[in-house]
Amino acid sequence: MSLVTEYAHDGKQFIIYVSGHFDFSRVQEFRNAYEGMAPSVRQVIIDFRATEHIDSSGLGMLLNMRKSLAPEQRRFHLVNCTPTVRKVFDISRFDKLFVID
Amino acid sequence: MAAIVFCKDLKLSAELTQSLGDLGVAMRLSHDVSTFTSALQQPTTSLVCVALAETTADEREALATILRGDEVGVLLMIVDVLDDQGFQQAEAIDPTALLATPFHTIELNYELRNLLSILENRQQQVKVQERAMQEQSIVENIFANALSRNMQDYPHIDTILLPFTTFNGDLYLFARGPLGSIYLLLGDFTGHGLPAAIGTLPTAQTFFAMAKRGAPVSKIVYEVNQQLHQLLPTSLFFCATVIELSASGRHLSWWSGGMPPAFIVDEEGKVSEELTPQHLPLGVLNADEFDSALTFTYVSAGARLILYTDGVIELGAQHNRPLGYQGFQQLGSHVNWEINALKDALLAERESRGANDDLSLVKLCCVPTGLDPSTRSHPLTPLPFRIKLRLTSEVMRRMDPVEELLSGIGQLRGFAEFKAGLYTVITEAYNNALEHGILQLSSDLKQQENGFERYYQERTYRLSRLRRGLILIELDYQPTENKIRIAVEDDGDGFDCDALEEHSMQQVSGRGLMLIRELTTQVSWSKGGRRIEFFYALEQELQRSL
Repeated sequence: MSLVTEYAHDGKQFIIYVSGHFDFSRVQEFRNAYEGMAPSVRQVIIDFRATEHIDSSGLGMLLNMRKSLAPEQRRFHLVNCTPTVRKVFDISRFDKLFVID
Repeated sequence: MAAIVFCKDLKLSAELTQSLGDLGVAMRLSHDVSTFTSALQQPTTSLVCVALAETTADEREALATILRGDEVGVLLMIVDVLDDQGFQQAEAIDPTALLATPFHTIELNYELRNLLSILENRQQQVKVQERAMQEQSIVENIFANALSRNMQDYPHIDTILLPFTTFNGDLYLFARGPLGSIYLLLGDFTGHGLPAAIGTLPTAQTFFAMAKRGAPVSKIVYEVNQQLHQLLPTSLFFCATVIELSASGRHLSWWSGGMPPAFIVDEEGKVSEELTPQHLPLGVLNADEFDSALTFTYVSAGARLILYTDGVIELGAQHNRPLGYQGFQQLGSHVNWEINALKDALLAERESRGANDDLSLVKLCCVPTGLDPSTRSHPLTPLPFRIKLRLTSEVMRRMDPVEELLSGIGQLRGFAEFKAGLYTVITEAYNNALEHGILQLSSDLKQQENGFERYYQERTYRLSRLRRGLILIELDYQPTENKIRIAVEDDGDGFDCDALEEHSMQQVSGRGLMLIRELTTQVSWSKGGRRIEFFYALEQELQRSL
């Protein structure tokens, strides 16, 4: 399991593909994935298509990421969520902070 | 080689027999028309030789009827030099060669050799043609099979596919992903016909396999590019747009190289956004040079995506009268991109301007795909079970017991779709017991600067030194109740569960308990906060409505 990242749309978008379990066991790996992200990025997209499961520590990691990446300058998208992952975001009212799809 | 000969003149017959014999050709000689007619069973595989000498008017007429038309492949007619009427009749039949008697034997031999070689060439040609037809039908079959995996009966997509020859150098692929998204590829190999279509096979195979796995578009184009780069000669490449529309119908992720810009049209049919290609076509660059960067584009509900190959805008280009990008958009918005009207309009343009390339157009309505995977559910196992785990400090140190437990439970019939939800709630309860009950960690740590990471560093540290403590996990499943009872208990100090407040979910801690509350029912604490118990509903209806 590893996190794959890529830039898109001339460096204005940054995509992180999260696979497997998204919880504290990935905390370092996840932070490494977005630290040093290019300043040109306007949209940060976390793609959950391959995420099997998430827990509250995963939610904390997303909030941390948002906080450390200047949220006033960027939008954060959580995309391709499986139904259960989506439900966890809904319960947590993440729609106030992220664009969820 | 064989010759079918009609000749009533004995001297001439002898000459023909001699010459054909010298050439090693078997001969069927007839002296009357009816024998000759029956000998002419397969005239195309034989040299046919007809001498008019000594024939009656009736016989000539009968011969003319038999010989007229294309059935007789290679025909030599021999007419007496003084027989004017015979020459006229022969001319009307239009034989391959006409020889006048008297002639020199060398002249006859020369003519026969000539005709035999014509016959041989024609037979060779027929064989080549038959073989080509056979090969073509095999290849057509293979292409049809390769494309048969295209998803059918999806109501929100329309296509206009007009190949210029039998084999389409344009390629349209369409598949659903495991999460209910749909994948679409429209591309155009250089040229047209079979050489252009050959790249279809690996492209289609890769596309369908990767769509089935739910791979991102960037991965798909990376793979296809690598295959085509290895396979195709330098002069051949593949202009393509690959798109994934999310299950919600709200966003597209796309990659485009070498294609005319796809666009999104609004309700009135006006172009609201262009998907301008940012890359070189597929198959040009090697894997290291290739740029698989895609683009996310949000679309408004009901927007329509128009994809097309350059055959559309280059209609009439060979006569310096191309339809052009603007012309195409005008034509489309004029009929508000209604597919039948659009097809009629394009066919009319093709009629008047002329075509010299394959032409393809795809219209996709961006609406929720309705292919949500949770609508496929399996009945739950009727087998009741009860599981009791007794987790010592050694087990806690060494593994994630929840993962071990769930990978087993996920195998039970009907449980796969609840696995992720069960995982979340059991993990929350277990982590709560472990972190607060056993490891005595305080959530206050998370509030500090870099507290989140420090909290988990501390967790790892304390867990590695753990030598005492016990956690019990109990699962109790009764098939008749469609729910599973879950209890997690630790032997720590417990806590004041009455003091638990409703936490805001955006706070750093307390989120775990909130998830348990929201995802389960009948949550209760006992044994001074050391034991939590709740029910998780295993209802398909509930899952579906998520």
